[in-house]
Parts: sequence; structure tokens; C-alpha cells
Amino acid sequence: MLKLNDVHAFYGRVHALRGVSLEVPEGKIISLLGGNGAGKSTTLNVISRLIQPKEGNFELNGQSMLKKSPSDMVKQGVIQCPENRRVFPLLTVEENLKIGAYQRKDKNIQLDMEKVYTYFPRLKERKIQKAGTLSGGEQQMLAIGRSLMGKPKILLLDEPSLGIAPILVSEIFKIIKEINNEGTAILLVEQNAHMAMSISDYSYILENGRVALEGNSEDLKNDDEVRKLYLGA
Amino acid sequence: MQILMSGLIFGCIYGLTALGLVLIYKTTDIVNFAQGEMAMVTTFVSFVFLSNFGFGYIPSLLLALIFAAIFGIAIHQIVMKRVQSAPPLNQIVVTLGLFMILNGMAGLIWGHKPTSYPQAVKGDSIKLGSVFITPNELFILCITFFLMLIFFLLFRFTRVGLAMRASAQDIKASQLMGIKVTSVFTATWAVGAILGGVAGIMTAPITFLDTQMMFEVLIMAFAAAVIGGFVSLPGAVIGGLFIGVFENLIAFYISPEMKLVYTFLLIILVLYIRPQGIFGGKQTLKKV
Repeated sequence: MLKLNDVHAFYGRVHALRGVSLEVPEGKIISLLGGNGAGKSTTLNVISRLIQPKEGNFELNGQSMLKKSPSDMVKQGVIQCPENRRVFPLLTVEENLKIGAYQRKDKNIQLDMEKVYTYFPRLKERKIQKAGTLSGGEQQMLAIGRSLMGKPKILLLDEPSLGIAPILVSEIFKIIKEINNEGTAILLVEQNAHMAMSISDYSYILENGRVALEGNSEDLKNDDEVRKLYLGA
Repeated sequence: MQILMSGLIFGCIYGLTALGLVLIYKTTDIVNFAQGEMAMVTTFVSFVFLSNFGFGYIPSLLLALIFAAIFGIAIHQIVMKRVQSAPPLNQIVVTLGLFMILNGMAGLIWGHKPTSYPQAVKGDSIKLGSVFITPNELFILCITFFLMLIFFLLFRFTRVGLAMRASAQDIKASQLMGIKVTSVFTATWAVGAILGGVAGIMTAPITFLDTQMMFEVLIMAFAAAVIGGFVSLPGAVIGGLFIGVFENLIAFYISPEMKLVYTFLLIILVLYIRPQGIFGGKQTLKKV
């Protein structure tokens, strides 16, 4: 449903993407792996329309998205949960969730908020607390919950495990899987390749702005070369 | 008591101007040095409606405020939008440039001769306990508190208010949530210009209408904003009231000529003891 074709993009003056092609089919989890500076976040920002690619094509359901604004993408159901959480620290947990539904005008917002609270019961307990006072893990839950409030068809998750206690990481990954089971496609950017491959259907490995390797996550995980280079085993 | 009272009236005007400054700074991260001049232009426009077209006070006020909103939108769309991601120093130079352009243009159009400007409400002073207050002063007090209340409600309970608070905290995250940050900023400039306009129209009967009328008010408003911490909206108003009273006390007990000097001293003192202002939080001094 979402498709990048030979995308070149600059991040400042750095030629960050040098021809990235990838696809996110309906209902799947796709992981996008690679080291620091490989171009993972830039790819997400191209999809969210924060960065305009120099070359290449970006389509959603067969239509080019190259002239759309960031808010158009949210309307289309392509929602990014950014790196480092970036919750609004001075807004309460509930206000953060409301912002997630900013584009929506339907009446089910309250219902979806309850659903987020069932995914993350801790957030409900902290409903009226300022988001800045939450722990890192809780902020990540809030960031994911906030993106869910926009009713994503495709959720772009940028490093949900970054700087979070290991116990919480597995909890968060379990929920990511659950979100996917309810029909949302996920493009998961991760440094934690092992974790990401274990829940995704298909993986792309970026290196210096190019797709160095791609394949079914199961196959890649068992590939000796990949294990040596990316999984550190 | 009487000194305190008239200090509060001036304080309201400073507070309203500071409110516009802080609102624009808090949301768009730009210190608008042209705030006073934008207010002055709006006041002249209201005077055109009053004297040239012969409209009543209230219609002129409302028309001028509509003008202020359009004016604010134009300033943001034409000028400020383009320097939104520029370094702070460049932004300051742009607003200073606007200050001089607006001042010069107003002088060309309306001349430099001070004219008297009618009060909102006429009538003799009323005696309230031991203080005298004119109906006009009472009007200024009421309108300040009314506007404060409106802003509080707007920020707390509306969608636009939520979007403004979010954009003020994190532009990228706001965009990713589908907020059109540029439109939110434009709206902020419109609201800031309206606040300035109200302050200008309240100032004119006291100082006379001329192109210099907002100079001192703007300086006092900066002092008020600094005391309030530059990011707190109630802080701006309370800072304004405080400066108004402070200035009046200095004028009465020391000498009227010294009030600016002491106000600057006060700013320095506040910045020295509590750089984040009295109401500012930790995150106040983002830059500069």
C-alpha cells in the first residue's frame, strides 16, 4: 500500500538517502534496520513529508504523495511516532492523546482514548499528570498511544526501544504486535535488530542510505552473514 | 491608595501589551519588538474610523480590532514566516526593522502632531472607598480582566488553544500529529496584534495619539514580561500590574523623571536574582 521507489534525499547537506526502495503492504510489520546515520529516520521523515526527496517516487495506494503536506499524511492515516518520543512535556497525558486526534472530527475519539488506556493502563493512572514527569518508558507508551489516536492505517515507529528499561521494551513490543493484529500496518525503525526481526514479517537493512539487504525476517535472522554483521552473534 | 489605583490602570495597559509579546514569544519563539508599533498603527486606524468616518466608539473599536487581526496575519504571512527557522538574532533584526518601517510609515500617513483621542467611557470620577476612579479607568480594568479570562479559556479548553500550546513545545511533533503549525503561528500573530491594538486604544486617551505613543509602553511591557518570566501569560499581566504600581510609586515618592531608570534597575535586579522571572519555569531560557 505504501511504496518508496529509488528515493534520494538530503538531510541538511548530507546525501542521506541514495536510492531507497521499500514497500509496506497492508497489515504487515516491516522493519527498517541499520546503524546510526544509515538513513532510517530520514526515510520516515520523507514518508511523513517533513523532507522533500530530491529524486524518486513515493506512493500511497498507487497515488503519488510528493505534493502532500505533513497534515495530509496524517489525514491519510500514515502516522509517525517520532524518535525520542517527543511527547509534549507541559501538556497532561490526556491532552497529549487529544492532540493525537487533532485531525479527526468523528465522535469515537473518547472510545479510542479508552482503548489506548486498555493497551497502556499506566497512562490511565497518570491521566492528569504532565507528560514531562513520566518515566522514559511511560513517555514511549504515551507517544505510541498518541499516534494511535489518529487512527493510523500505517504506523511509523522510530526506535521505540531507545533508552528504555529492557522489561518495558518487551512489553512495548508485545503491544506493537497487538496493534498490528488489529489491522494496522507498521513500519518499525530499530537499532535493536534482533527484537525487530522477531516480530516483523519482512526486513530491510539500510547502509549509507541504500538498502543493503532485504528479505523475510525469519530468513534473515537465521542467515549466518546477517547474524555476524548485524546481530552481533 | 490613589497612587496604587492609578498604577493599576497603567499596569493593565502594560499587562495587555506584555500579554501580546509573551503570547507571540511563547508560541513562535520570536521576540516581537514591533509589538508597540503594530498597536500604534491599529490605534491610528481606529481613529480614522472615529473621526474621518464618524463611526461611534464601539464600532470603531471593533473595526480596528478586525484590522489588527488582518494586520497580524499579513505580517506573519509576508514577513515573519520566512524567518521562522532563522537564528534568533536575525529574527530580532527583522522585528526591529518592522518597528522602524511601521513608525516611519505612520508618520508619513498621519503626521507627527499629537492629537487627542477620546476616552471609551466619559463621565466624572466615582468615589470607591478612599479612591477616585473614572468610568474610563474602570473600563480599562474590566477589559483587561475580561481578555485575560478569554485567553485562559481559549488556551485551556479549545482545540486551537491546545494546538498553540503543542506547537509552542515541539514543532516537529506537532506537525507529525497533523497540526498545521504555520497556520497556528499566523493565528497567534493575529491574536497578538489584537491584544496590542486594545492596549494602544486604551493608551491613546492618556498619552495623546501620535507615532511615539507606544515607546514607553513597550519598554514597560518588556519589563512586565521579564518579571513574568516571558513565557507565562498570567505572569505577563501580573508583571504589568506590578510595573504600573511600581512606576507610580517611584514617580510620587522620588520623581517622575526617574521612573524609567528605576524600571530598568528593576529589570536588571530581577534578571540578576531570578533570571527565569517570577513565574517562569525551568525551560524559560531556551536561547539568547
